[in-house]
Amino acid sequence: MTLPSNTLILDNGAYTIKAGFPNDECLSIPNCLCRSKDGNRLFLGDEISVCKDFSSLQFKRAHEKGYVTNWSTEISLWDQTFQRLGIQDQKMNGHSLVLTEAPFTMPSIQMNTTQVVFEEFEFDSLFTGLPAEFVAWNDLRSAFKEPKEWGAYKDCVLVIDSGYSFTHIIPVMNGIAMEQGIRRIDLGGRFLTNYLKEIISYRKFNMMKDFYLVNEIKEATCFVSQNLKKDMEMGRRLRRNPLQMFYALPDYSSGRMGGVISSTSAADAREQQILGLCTERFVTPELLFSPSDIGMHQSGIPETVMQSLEQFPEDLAALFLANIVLVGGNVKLPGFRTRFEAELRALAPSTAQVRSYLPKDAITFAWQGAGSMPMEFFQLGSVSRHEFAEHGMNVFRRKKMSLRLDAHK
Amino acid sequence: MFVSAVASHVSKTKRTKQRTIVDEATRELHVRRNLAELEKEPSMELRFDVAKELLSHRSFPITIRRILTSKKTFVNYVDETPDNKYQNCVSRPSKRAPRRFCGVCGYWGVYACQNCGIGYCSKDCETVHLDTRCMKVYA
Repeated sequence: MTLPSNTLILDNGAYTIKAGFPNDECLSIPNCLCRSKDGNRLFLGDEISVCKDFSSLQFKRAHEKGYVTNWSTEISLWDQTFQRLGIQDQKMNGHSLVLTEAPFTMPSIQMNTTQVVFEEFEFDSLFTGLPAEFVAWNDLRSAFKEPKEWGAYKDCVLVIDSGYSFTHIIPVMNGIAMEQGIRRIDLGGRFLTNYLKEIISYRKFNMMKDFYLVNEIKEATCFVSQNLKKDMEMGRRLRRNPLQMFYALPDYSSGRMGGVISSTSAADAREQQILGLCTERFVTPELLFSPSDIGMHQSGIPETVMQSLEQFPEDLAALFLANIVLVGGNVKLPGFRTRFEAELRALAPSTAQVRSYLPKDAITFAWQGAGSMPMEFFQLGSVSRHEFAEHGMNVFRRKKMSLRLDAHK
Repeated sequence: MFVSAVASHVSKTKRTKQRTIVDEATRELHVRRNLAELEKEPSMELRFDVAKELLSHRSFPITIRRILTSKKTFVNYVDETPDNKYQNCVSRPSKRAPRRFCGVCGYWGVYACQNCGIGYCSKDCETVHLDTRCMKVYA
């Protein structure tokens, strides 16, 4: 049995909100407030689609380092989301909410979230969980091409969630994250874009104020190198460099859009500024695998996976290694999965099988998983408004504990 | 008088300004500051908020009003949490040696600048580095 149709599933990410009803379409709304350069126009959420001039666009997010701190922005964004979904009323009586939160959210932030959900929006009940916990409910059996007779293997999943604010490695068992194995790398899409912005500004054009544009450039041109030495040598070639890519910068005054161009001659004729990118294309995502390149005292994703699996006995670790799911925006970079598997294969014990799955839509995979959550799990773990009013925040801990105990039946 | 190439090079270096070598601790501090800069949300320090009209149709109960007007930052929230789970779950430093890249062109940084420690790959990149960035970032 699946969730009732009036359950609202909200993946509250720092970059986009993914919201919708189960088995329906997922709505993606940028989770920020943008202001134009001259300060005249404010764009909330998806109003950015009517914006013509992205130069020096200023952002204001409700999230700080991945956790919600600014509720006035977030409430207005949620208002917009609910309107887009067709809900006209301000109060959400009659709806339940499935909400995602970041790992180890601070109790005071959890309290604020719960109060807003129950006392302001007046949802009937609330189910919180990590996005990784929802990923596991997807149909992973067909993803890993397992035969049905093998039983419920998918109860053990290692989720790599690499998003805007940070990257988490989260082992999930039976829909509950194993806290002792959660590891965080403070590298996310925002860091990569800022890094790319800095090196472009030093070597080519000053784009320090154009976060939006550099984000687009990153998504259009960056890829993960499989062999850094080889790509570096190739990138140094002056003529017929296979790694060189040209990006025509947009001209906001004339309304011309930017984009990747194949040859510079056509763009020259149109008098567009051309940005040539070569080593920057693969050095930026290289940070995910080697943060020490920039002086960060943290390990890359494959090494952190091994650190996380140290907490578990050998056979459990081997189970996790065979069921890895990659979600989040950063995993969509071309070549990420191959490079990740190759590096992890070198680090993992030789007796373990390393198998990973990259879903077609890595950004909405957690949202889709939440929609496939079984009804019993949802009912056991959700807290109603009445229960919260009576018992306070403790009831969340009790429900999570009962989920953990019940899952082993 | 014949001045050999070597002698003219030596006199050139004597004429350049005194090189101040920055110590390891300051370099580390600078690296950390740079990382904090990269981690920062763009334009987060600017003050602008949603238009008042968007929230005016809502009548907030007192608890929500307190949440909306609180000026707590993320650091405050972390500090007041009794356990250290958030800080402890961070990834450990890597066992691999850090690689160094040229700060100017992005190739391998085989040589390191005497003053600030940034890598460079060739003489040309060193000249560019000394002209533009060296020691200016410590100012």
